[in-house]
Amino acid sequence: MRLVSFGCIVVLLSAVSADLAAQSRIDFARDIQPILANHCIRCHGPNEAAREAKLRLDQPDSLYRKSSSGRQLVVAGKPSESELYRRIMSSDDDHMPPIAESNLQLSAKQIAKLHLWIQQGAIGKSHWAYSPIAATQSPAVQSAQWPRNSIDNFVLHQLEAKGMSPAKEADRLTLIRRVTFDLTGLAPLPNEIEQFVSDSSPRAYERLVDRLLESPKYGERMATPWLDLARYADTHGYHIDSHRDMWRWRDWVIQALNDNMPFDQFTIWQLAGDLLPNSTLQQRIATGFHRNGMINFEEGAIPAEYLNEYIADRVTTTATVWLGQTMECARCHDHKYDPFSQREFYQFYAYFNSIDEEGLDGRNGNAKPWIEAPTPSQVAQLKEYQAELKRSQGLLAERAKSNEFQELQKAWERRSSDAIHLNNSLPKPTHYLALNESTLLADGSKTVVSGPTSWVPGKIRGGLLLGGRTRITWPSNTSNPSTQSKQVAFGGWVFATTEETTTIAAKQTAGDGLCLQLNKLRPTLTLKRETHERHFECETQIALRSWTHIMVSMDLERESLTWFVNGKQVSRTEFSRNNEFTRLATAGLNSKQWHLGGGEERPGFRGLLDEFYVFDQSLSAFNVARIAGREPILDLLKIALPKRTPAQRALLRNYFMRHEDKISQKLLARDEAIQSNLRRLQRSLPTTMVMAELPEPRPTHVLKRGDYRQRGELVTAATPAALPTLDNDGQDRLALARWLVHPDNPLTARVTANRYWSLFLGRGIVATEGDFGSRGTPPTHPHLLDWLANEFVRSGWNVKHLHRLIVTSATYRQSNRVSFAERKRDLDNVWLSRMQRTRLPAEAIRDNSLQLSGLLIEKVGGPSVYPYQPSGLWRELSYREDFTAQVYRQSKGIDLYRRSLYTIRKRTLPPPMLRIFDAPDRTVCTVKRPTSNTAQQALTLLNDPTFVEASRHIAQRLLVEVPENDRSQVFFERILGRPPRAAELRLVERLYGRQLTTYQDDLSAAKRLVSVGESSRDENLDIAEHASWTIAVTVLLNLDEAVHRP
Amino acid sequence: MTKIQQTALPLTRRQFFGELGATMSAAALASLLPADCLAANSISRAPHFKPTAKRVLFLCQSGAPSQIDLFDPKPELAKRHGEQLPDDVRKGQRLTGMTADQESKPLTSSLFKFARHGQSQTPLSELLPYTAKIADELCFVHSLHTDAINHDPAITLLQSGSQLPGRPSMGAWTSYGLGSESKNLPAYVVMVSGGQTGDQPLSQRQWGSGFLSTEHQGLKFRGGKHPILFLEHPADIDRKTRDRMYDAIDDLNKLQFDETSDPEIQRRTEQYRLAQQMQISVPSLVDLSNEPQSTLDLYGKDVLTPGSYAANCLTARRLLERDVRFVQLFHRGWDHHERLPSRIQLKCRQTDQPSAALITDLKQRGLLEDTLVVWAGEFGRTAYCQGSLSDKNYGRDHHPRCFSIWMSGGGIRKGLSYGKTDDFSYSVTENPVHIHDLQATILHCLGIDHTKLTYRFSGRDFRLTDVGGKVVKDILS
Repeated sequence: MRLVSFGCIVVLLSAVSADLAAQSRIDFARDIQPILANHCIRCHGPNEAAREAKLRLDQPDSLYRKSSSGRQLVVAGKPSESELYRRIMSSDDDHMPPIAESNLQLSAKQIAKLHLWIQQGAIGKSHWAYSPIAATQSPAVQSAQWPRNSIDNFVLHQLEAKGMSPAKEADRLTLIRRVTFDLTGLAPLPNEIEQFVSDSSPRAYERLVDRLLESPKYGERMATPWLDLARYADTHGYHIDSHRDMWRWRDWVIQALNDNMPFDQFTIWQLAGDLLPNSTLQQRIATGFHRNGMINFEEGAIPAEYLNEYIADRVTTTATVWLGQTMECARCHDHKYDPFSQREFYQFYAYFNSIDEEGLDGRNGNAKPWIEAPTPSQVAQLKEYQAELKRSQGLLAERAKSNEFQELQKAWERRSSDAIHLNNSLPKPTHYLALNESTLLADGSKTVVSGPTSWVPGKIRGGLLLGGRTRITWPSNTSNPSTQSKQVAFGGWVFATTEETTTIAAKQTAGDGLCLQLNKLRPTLTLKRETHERHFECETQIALRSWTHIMVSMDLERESLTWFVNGKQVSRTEFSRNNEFTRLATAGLNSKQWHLGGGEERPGFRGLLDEFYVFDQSLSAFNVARIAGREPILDLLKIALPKRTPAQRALLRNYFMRHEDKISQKLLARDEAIQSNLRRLQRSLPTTMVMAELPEPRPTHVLKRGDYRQRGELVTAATPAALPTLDNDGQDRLALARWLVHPDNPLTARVTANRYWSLFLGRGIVATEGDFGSRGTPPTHPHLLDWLANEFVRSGWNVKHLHRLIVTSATYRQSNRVSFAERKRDLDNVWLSRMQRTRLPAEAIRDNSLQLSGLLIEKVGGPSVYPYQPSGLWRELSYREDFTAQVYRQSKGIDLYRRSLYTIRKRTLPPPMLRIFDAPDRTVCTVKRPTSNTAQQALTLLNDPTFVEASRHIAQRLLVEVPENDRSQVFFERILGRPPRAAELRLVERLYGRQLTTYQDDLSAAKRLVSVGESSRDENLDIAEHASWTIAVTVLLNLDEAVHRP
Repeated sequence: MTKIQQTALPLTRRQFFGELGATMSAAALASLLPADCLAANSISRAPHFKPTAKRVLFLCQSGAPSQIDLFDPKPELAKRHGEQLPDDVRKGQRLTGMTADQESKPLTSSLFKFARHGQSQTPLSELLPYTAKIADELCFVHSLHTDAINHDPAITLLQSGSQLPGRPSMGAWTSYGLGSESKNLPAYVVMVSGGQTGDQPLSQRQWGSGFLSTEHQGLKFRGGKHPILFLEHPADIDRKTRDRMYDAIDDLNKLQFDETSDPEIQRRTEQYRLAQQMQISVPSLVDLSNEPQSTLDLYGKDVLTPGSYAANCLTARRLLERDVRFVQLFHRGWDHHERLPSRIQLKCRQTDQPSAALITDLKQRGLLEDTLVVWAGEFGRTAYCQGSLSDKNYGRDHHPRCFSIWMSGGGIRKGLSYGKTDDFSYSVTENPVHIHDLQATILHCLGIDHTKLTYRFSGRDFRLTDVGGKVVKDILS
């Protein structure tokens, strides 16, 4: 084909060339480098193995060398003498790229560009994005009255150069709808529209923008793209995909955006807030940014493999979000197109390879490291309880010191010293097995005895001899989990005849539950739930063939486990915020069957047992001592006063307070109530995952082919050499964060400003928003991009300032209505001669319907919520059993109507409505959502109960508020933000009229329609009218216009 | 995006690039021609050559069935049953965290008997009596191997060519490359069955669109009368009202299009028409009651239980008849670490007859010759026992180094057994087939060169087969 049409190409080339030459100078970085990167570098690039003819075209310098055949590659000004050009144009076998590589062939336009570039002098420069941000002045323009700020000069300058002109300014209704959606994610309210339209001041629009920037809804709207970048979700993402809590981080983002936190600070806190001196709670919460990645705990997976993934994901995400670089391409080999070596990838990796985290974690909720992250109101409540507690303890101390108390105690001691005279009885056990042949179970519960039973003398009267197969079973009398006690204490006299593992007693359901075992004579509590089992050992061993009293007390409320041997406390373990203990202990408390002498799937007991007690409460050390046949108080009282040690005195005093002194008892009850409140509050404090350093960072190796098993050279943290070194103090994340937001870093400000531009204009100045490398698209308005970046840094990384600049520009305020011919001239609106309509983000589509309906709850932040979702969706894919986030439990009441950014994000099954409208599943960093247009979207807007319920409420509101004759008009205006044209009005009225006839004939169908959803209905409204308007509203919500911002 | 959408692009680049766009899906076209032609996506149009299959049916057996108990008989295992796995067989390769530290790794013979079937004399386990009857229609590959040893990365690799999430699934790539043939259904439909508590979980991303546009995501059909999310109105509004709504939306959108000339409005209008058609056609599509009794009998007793594998198989045939290009079934519950003998029997009872029925049914209707059918799990299972080995009971851990699958239909050689494994079904000894090779072969049957179906994302031209994959020509007819 090339041979046949060679002449044609030359003709075509000269035409294209002339066209290009007329336009502008060829810029190496913008025009030439991408051609080399896309078409030549595969064989003539950094990859040594693939390199042909020892030629590298990724390094501009080598373009000016001689080729291996001795010819000059590029001769400035002389395309025909340049080997590079000759080979591209050759019709012989030495044609480049090789004919076989059909994907690599150059287009006529590309060849023309190379030709022109050489003709213009073949000036090479490094890739534009790594050059310092230029201090650009806004250019002069012919239509000097059009620009409202510098942005417009840049845009208009380009338009004028192309002989194009900007569209007229949009009308006010369009403007307020556009900017309110863009800044708050919601449509303007009727009174806001009214106010703006009637505001005759020349600064009315600017005032509107200022109000929107101060709205708390601004932070909610701006959070969404950040959450996409941060791959924020409420589940871990891999495999079983159970629940995690990161909403405190999400709320921190909303707050920071609303507070207009400068972007450099926003960056430093999120990447390295924990490393700031005396870091605050907020700074530590912020570091959740890089804990939002997916976490695995699939059984059998290899920890090192996943640890590697977590860290590599941080590199990818950081490079994408701040640098706009595809550094992940350098994970397995040197980057093929951009100047990042594999070694540099791992140097960047080293910044994140020092977190105190596990390769497999998250089974029980948040994976370490995590912190408690109380909300401000919880902090206040905590302080209040702590103050109350202090007061209460003061009162108790005061009471103990008072003369009255001391006199009373002395009198009591005198009375009680020689007799059992204690004003105290044991708590009632739920079960007591005397283990005498005649009275097996003292409380009369139904026991079943299996296996051989030998009744022998026991510790107290008779006892039971067990040979390993004897069991006594009886049902637990607390079968209802909701009334289930949070405590259990049990045990008795034990005479063991073997050192092997045996089971004294168990409380189980289908093998799950708790077991009191002797493991090499060490009392052990085994907790098991499904496949998960843990052993909690007592610190002391008991003696073989000797009566020993063993008692264990487990308290879920205090999250503690206490061991008593021979009536004395020997150990106590506290499990503060330990989800694993809580889950296992709950399984134990909820299990139904008691076994003595063994347990399901457990080895039986061998030896003697006697006097077995079960309590549904935890026991004081004093009571356990008494059960074990000791009388510690009487023993103490026998010691003469002067001989008592301070500890013994304290014991006696405490006993007296708790059991004998009425006033102390009242004070103690109050004290315990406060402590209980405090504990409950502490347990309810949300936790959030954070970054925290290991004492010693892990060594970082280059991993060959990215494989965690193939360790290569050892490296230390450093930033890529192709980017400027900016007094990077230290090698930690803090140094990295500061480097990213150093004013001289050429990328961060450009990349960020470009994303904001895209947010408002629908398309980035660099269209590949996540790729500012040589394969990305060059900027359409490079000087504007640099101006925005400079302005961003100059303003102190002031985000709202930048947003204000963009949305108040004349460029942004243009009309979206253009003629067919104008549209045809610039289909994608690259040159910004109009405003592009953009599809609303998924969240805004739902939120807007809720707001119109009046159902929207404007509460900022909090745990994620579970709005309507077709039933069974999670269940179809989930593992279920014993893990969180396996079955969808729909919220009730206000949580059905929160803004969509609070909807639970399960990564393996994202909320269907949001996903159908292109919300990502948040598995990886997402820079830009696609915009699809599908039949599923139509079905969702028509039939998702969320929208049907919203429709009936919109209809209801308007039926109540609007007089009959104005309804069509007002319905239309409310939903679409503009008055209807006559034809539109006729269509709405016709639909309503026909529908009314239908529903008047079928009231039950109407009734069904106006009953969709869980909210109530105004029963005063005529059902047929209400239903008919509901249909009309649904239609209006389904219009293309309703899901676009104008 | 469907053909219908393509015809609805009067004002987009389609008009300007005329015939170039006509043979490509609109999405591929859009990616080919970003506004700035400097960074043009290097997509070649598909199909690249004449396909042997118009459609793909992928029967994904999630959890990983045991090749040793179904397809790959090993007399040596019977001889050495109970002996330890020899070190020179394992060769120090990595095992999952579940058995890496298990002291004893006794070789475990299958409890199930094998016999040879058909003219091809294909050995099959007694667990698969129905598959045995159609053995001559199938091509067995015994030498598949994968890189992952756990479910999540392995099934992600099988579906998307990468162990990590973020890439488009095979069906999404197909939808992107070839568009939809069906008038009122998307190119890619997915069904899931078999999920009991404790079965390996699945994720929507296994039929996700990754970095491709959302429209290429598999549309999940659920069991029962309302297979597609939001297909039915929650108040069950009558047909007349529904049509009236569609008409009103259509009319109002047209008025707005006249004002703005934004082609997006026309595309949305088309999608509403498609939605309207789906509301009419899909309920009858999934209504199996009008199938003749002989067909129902063919698929077995579960066929009228909504959401069962059998029902999904029959529904799959009806989807294929309606030109859905890529139909994928996932059947859960093959992860038999323990109690394998009883659990695999249950799985085979659920899947053997319907899978075989599908082949028979497709063949009877003349659809098998241009439909590629693939039956595969994400990896195989170990020759040694996980947990304790007893006379009637054993379990097997994950095994990535070899496993068996079968393929049939459009372009595949019948009655062939391809690839060999060692005496322990531990390693491949002949004709290894990597997951990427399987994917390259599937695309090949669809007329797609797997190296040319690419999508530029983050500066890289991604493809389903990543940087690997070679078409297994030996199994092509």
